[in-house]
Amino acid sequence: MAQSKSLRFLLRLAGKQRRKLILSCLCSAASAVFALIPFVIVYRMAEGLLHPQADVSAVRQLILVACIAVLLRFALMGASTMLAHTAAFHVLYDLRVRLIEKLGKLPLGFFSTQHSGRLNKVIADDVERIESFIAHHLPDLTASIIAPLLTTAYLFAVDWRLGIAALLPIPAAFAVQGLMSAHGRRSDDMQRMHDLSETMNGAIVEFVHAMPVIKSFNQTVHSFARYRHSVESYASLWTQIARKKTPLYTLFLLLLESGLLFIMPAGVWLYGQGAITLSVLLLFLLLGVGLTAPLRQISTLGHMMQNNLEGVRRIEAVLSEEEQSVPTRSEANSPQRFDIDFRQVRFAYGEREVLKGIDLTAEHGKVTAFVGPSGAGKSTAAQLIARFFDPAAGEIRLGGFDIRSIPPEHLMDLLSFVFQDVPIVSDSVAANLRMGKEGASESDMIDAAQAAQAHDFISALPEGYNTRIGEGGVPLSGGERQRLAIARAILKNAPVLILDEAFAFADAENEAKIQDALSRLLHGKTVVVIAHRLSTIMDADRIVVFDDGQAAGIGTHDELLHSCPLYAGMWQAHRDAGEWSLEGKEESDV
Amino acid sequence: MFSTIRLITGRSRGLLSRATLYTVLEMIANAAPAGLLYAILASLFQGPASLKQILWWTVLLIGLFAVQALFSSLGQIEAQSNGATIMKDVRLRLGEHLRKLPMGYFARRDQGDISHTLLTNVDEVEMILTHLFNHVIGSIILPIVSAAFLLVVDWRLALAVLVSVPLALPLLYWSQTLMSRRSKQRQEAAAAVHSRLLEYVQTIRLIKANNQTGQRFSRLDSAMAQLRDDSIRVEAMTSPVVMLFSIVLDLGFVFLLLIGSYLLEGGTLDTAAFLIFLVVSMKFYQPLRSAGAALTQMRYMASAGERIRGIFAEPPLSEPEQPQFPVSFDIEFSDVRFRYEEKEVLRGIDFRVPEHKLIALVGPSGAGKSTIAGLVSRFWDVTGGAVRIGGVDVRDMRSEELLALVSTVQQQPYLFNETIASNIRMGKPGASHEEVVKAAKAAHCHAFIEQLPQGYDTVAGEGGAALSGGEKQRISIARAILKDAPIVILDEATASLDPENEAYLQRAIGKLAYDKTVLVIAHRLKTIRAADWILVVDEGRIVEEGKHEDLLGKGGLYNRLWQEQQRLGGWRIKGGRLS
Repeated sequence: MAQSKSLRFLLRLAGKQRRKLILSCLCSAASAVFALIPFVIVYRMAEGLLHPQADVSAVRQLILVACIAVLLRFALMGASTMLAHTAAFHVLYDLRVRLIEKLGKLPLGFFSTQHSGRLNKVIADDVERIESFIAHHLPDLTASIIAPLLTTAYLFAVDWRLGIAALLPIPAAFAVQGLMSAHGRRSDDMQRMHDLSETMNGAIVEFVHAMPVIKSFNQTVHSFARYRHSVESYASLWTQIARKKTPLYTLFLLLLESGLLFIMPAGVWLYGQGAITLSVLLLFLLLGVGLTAPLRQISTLGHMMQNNLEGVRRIEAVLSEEEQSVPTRSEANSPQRFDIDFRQVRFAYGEREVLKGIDLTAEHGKVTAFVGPSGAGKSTAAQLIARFFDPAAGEIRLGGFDIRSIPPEHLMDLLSFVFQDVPIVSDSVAANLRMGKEGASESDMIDAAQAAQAHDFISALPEGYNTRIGEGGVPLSGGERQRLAIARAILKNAPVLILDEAFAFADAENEAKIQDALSRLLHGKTVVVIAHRLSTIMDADRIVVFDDGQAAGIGTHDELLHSCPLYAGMWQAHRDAGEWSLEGKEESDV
Repeated sequence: MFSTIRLITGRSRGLLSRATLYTVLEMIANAAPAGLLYAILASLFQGPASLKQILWWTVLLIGLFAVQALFSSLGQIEAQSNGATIMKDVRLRLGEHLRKLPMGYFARRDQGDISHTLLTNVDEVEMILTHLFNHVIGSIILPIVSAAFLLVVDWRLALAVLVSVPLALPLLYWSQTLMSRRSKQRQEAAAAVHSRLLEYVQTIRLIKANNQTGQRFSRLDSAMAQLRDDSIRVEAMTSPVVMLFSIVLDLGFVFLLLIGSYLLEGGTLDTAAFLIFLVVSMKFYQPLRSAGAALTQMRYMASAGERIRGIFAEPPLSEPEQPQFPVSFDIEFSDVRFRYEEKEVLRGIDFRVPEHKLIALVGPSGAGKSTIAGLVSRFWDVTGGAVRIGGVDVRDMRSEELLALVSTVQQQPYLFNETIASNIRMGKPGASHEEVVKAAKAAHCHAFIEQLPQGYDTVAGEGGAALSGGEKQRISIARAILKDAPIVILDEATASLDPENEAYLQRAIGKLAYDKTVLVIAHRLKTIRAADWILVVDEGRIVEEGKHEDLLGKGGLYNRLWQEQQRLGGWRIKGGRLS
């Protein structure tokens, strides 16, 4: 059963903090026992006081015991709370680390099918909910089981008939619960709830991120249908569930506390028959009435757990995603040369086949360019080299070894990637640069920034290299981001360099200087360049022309002009485009 | 705390009062059996009860139970559906408010932070309103009712019971303040984890490429560790203080025993009355203790309310009292200054784009070109000078009307997680499918859209179909074509397009820009050399302006940029080196 599987998963997680948790549960149980003592004392007092030779001084001793019991009860409860929470937050942290480690091992394909808001909910919110299981439910559950068991035993020892009466709320409550289960499967609603909550999560993240577009297209909140709709349908399901479930559920909970309904008539009658003393009746009125109440707690736990378990299922789903294969130590290869070979490589994004059997070679120390219409598969092919995705068929070799046989971390050390959309993280400039090479010295970092013509603008930022950039920090222009990315690659200085439209934003002012820097960087490296403008790559050692997922031509610029009609056409278009411009209106108006 | 709640919900207590009333009634029905019990025990001390009496008492108990069940479920339903309504309203109002904030707000604040507030914080506030609030109210009323009853029964014993309350309350207050101080930190830590996670997922490519996955992405790891430590400080380390409250409260019971024993000794208290009192007074402590716990939780959640309040407190872009609307669409910047945080971005910009003309902004990156473009749509307000459209200051226009006048095609287009058709239709809500197709054809994206598995119904955006940068760009141009606004801003819109489509795109942009006032930002000077007027921007100032030929003749920055681009003809990478 899926539920018990999730529960086992939770217990396994909790197992990491076993010592603290066991201790916490013991404290909690002991605390529950001490909570009973004052009731027993009242019973004893009643016995003593109702006795013909009542002795009030004996009562004083009982009071001292009660006092100690109260102190111990809460001391133990406090200890239990502290232990359980400390354990719980360690478990949450460990689980989150596991999740992010896991994400690091998944192919990028996973991320393109998952909304980031959804993953965020799993790692932030669903994990957070586990806290209540470990910190509250586990110790509470222990207390809720131990206390009624002890009480029941004690009450039965005193009078078994009233003991039975005290237990009657249980069958009554469960009869109602049976009715409830027949009324509708609960897990179904819970799942819808989670689905809707995820949809809303995604819609909200998108709403905030798309604000520039929303503003410029005048999408008021009310016409921003997805946001509003997701918020509203979440609210209406919530209400719906409340209406459907509440009456029976409330009855169930209240019945568990209904001991008085059974004990009073039975007790008063038995007393009338002379079968019990008045102090026994008092004892049952004190202890017996609340006997089944802890079951309420157990049931609330069950109810809350159901909500949490759905979250746990989603956590497990992420954790059980198929990771990219990692070679075992004995199979692991470490290439010494860095030529790249594609052999019959195929790849599809979902149903859309992007690469349909590519064969190509990027030679060691040479520049290989990927060109072709947009959507032809150039960027995808480049990303496969870094194993952002694994090919559906065929293989890619680096220095003669299948890249799947190179440990991923080692592979990443061998590659520098400059992306088209220049991602940066919101941290200092220095931290962004050092991503390429952890622990790089200050002077190496500045050298790299200088080479990429980034030093000047970085120095002009409010706090220089310590300025926070990215979301919430100082905004950078496209060109500035691009130069940071190039500086990052220069700092990393890996033997294979992949430039995916790395120059789209670079401006003329800096181009010449960056080119100088890059030419030093490129020296002796295996370089793969993707460029839209053919003039950028016309002097490359080898040009691969992509068309609809296939290599339509491979050769030098001059060779391709003759042998590849597509390339010749693109070259012509490029030369024409070189001439195009946005016309002023004066001429056209005339 | 309650003022925050009222502010957030934007309602008076009216909405809650019915649920609260039900809760109070439920609590009374819950407490009433204690009174009955008192009567029963008093009668038993006189002598055994008859069968008829037992029957009556039982019926009465069942009746009270039924009343309690009724009000309990009514209260629950009421509270839950109110909570859902409030959550919905708060989210919609927050969304509405966010929409009115200047773009500067979004650039300054972490977006993960904002969405965390919209999601988690709103849920937390809802918890306060639906569950905790009523719980606390009930837990206060019940002891008051019981206390009154106890005072009537025996005032001396009742005082012994009550004396622990004023002693325990300061302890409760202490634990509350301690917690709320610490939980503010925890809230911040949780929001930081949320943002870092979003960043981790969204830049996973970069992170993987640099071997920074998992714990090596130390910013995320340390945010999570911080959350762990702050949580422990809030939840675990405050528990001894919370326990003190319970201890003092429960020692009240011990005190009652003590006082009772003395009164018994003195003979002024009857054994029966004392025993009955003990049984009944149990009802007094139980709700008080749970009120303490609920109040603690409420405090924690109130800091979530503070964060929501923080967003509402951000001043929206001011709307004019007497809105004006331009009749012509020329753009004028007069001595515009703009400061972004400490960075002086624009230092006095003056220019005018006549209606239906095309003006280009060129210059090094970081010169302030994109800022100039953003100021036209009033993404920020200028810190000096004025931006006017058709002679009307943009601050004197209703922001919706202003935004309707401008189409912006940006460097990195954003596509919504919806179908391509609805992404394009965003330009003109309610546009027919034909209009959408027509715009798509004009932007030269019809052909590739048709090739997608579900054509126009293919879902784009994050998590949707993988589209190339150029494809996304063309969809965003189709969107702008459909919008058909009189002012068009192209912010390096052509930077990431491939040569094959550049020629098409030229025509598409030509179509978009036809009889429009156009502001183009471009770094490739070739694309804009035929512009009606060219502004050369450097370090927040216009350093040169004029027509292409004039600017070349001046021999300044423009000339230098042009010569370099001519010489390079763009980037050239050659066998292992660049030339």
